[in-house]
Amino acid sequence: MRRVVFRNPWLPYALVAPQIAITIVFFLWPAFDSLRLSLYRASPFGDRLIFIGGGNFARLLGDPAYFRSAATSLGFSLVVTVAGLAVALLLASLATAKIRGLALYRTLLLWPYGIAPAVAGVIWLFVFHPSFGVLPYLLSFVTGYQFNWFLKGWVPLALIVIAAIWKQFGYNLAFYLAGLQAIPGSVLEAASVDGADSIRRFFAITFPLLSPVTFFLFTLNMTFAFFETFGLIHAVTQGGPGDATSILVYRAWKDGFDGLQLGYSAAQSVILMLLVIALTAAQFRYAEKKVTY
Amino acid sequence: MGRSGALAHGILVASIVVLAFPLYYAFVISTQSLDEVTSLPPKLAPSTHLAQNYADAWARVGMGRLLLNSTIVALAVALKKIVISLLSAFAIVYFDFRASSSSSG
Repeated sequence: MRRVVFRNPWLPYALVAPQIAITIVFFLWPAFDSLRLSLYRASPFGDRLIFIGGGNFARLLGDPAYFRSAATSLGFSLVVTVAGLAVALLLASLATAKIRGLALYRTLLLWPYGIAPAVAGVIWLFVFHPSFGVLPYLLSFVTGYQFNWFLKGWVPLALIVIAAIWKQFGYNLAFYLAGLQAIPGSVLEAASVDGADSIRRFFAITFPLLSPVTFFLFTLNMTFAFFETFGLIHAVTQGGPGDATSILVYRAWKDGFDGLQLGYSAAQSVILMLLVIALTAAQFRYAEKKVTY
Repeated sequence: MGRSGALAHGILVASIVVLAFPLYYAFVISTQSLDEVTSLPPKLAPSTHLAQNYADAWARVGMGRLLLNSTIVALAVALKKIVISLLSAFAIVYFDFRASSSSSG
C-alpha cells in the first residue's frame, strides 16, 4: 500500500501543537518545577524557600528507610507483574481451547478490570479484615497464626499484591486472548504432527510468539504497580503498619503532603522519575534484542 | 470432550469463583446491618438492609453530585484524548515534516 503524503509548511505543526502544549504544561513544566523544588527546603514557618543544593538527596541516600521502601516497591511490582502475567497467560490459554461456554467464561473473567484500584482495595479489605474478614476466620481453623495486618507487615503486603493482581487480571487476560488468537493455527498443527505435546507446543511456539504481548504487558504492569497502586494503598493501609506497604510513590506523597517536606518529597519524585526513565530505556533496549515482533 | 476439557472447565470455573467472590462478598455486606457485618462467623448470605444502606450512602456522601462530577470529568477527558490524539496521529501519518519521527512520544 502506498502512503499518501501531503506537503504543507505549517499545517502538521498546527495539528500536533495541542499534544505538544499538553505535554509541556502537564509534564515538562511540573517535572522541571519538582527538579527545582528538590534543591530547596521550606523554612520552619513555610514563608520562604531555602536553597540547600543536594541536601535533600544526601538525606534520602543516607536514610535506610528509603532503601527499605525502594526494596518494597521493587519486590511488590515484580510479584504483581510476574504472578499476574503468569495467571493471566494460564487462563488465557485455557480460554482459547476449544471448549463449550467460551464466550461466557471470557466475559466473567474480564469484569474486575472495571473496578477502581481504591475500590478494589476496600473490597479486599473486607475479605482480609483481622476481626471480621472471611479469610482470617477460615484460616483460624487451620492455623493459630494471627493474620492481623496491624501486627504482621507481610499480611497487608499480601493483601495489596492480591488486590492489585485481581484488579489488573482482566486487562492482562484481554491482551493475552488477543495475542493467542493471532498465532497461526497452522504452525501449532505442524508441531502437533511432529509429535509435540501441548506443553511442548506452548513453550516452543506459543510463548515465543507471544513475547511482544508479554513485553508490553510487563512494562504496563510494572508502571501500574509502581504508580497506580497509590489509591489502593491509600485506601487500605496508608503505607502501614510501620512502613510495610509504603512503596516509593506513597512515601513521596506522604513526606510531601502529610509531612509538608515539599523539597524532600520533590527529591524523591526526581529519583522516581530517573528510575522510570532508566527502566523504560532498559526494557526497550532489551526488547529490541530478545523480543520477536 | 476428554479429560483435559474437564480440567480446563474446572480451572476456569474455579478462577471465576475466586475472581467473583470479593465482589459477591462486597454486595452481601452492603445488604447487612453493622452488627451482621462485624459478626463471626461472617455471614455470606444477603440480608434485609439493602434499601436502607443504599439510601443512607446516597444521602450521606451526596452520591448524585459525585456521579455527575465523575461523568463530566470522564466524558471531557475521553473527548479531549480522542480529539488531540486523532489530530497528532493524522499529522504524523499523512505529513512529511522534520519533527515527525521524534514527536511520537
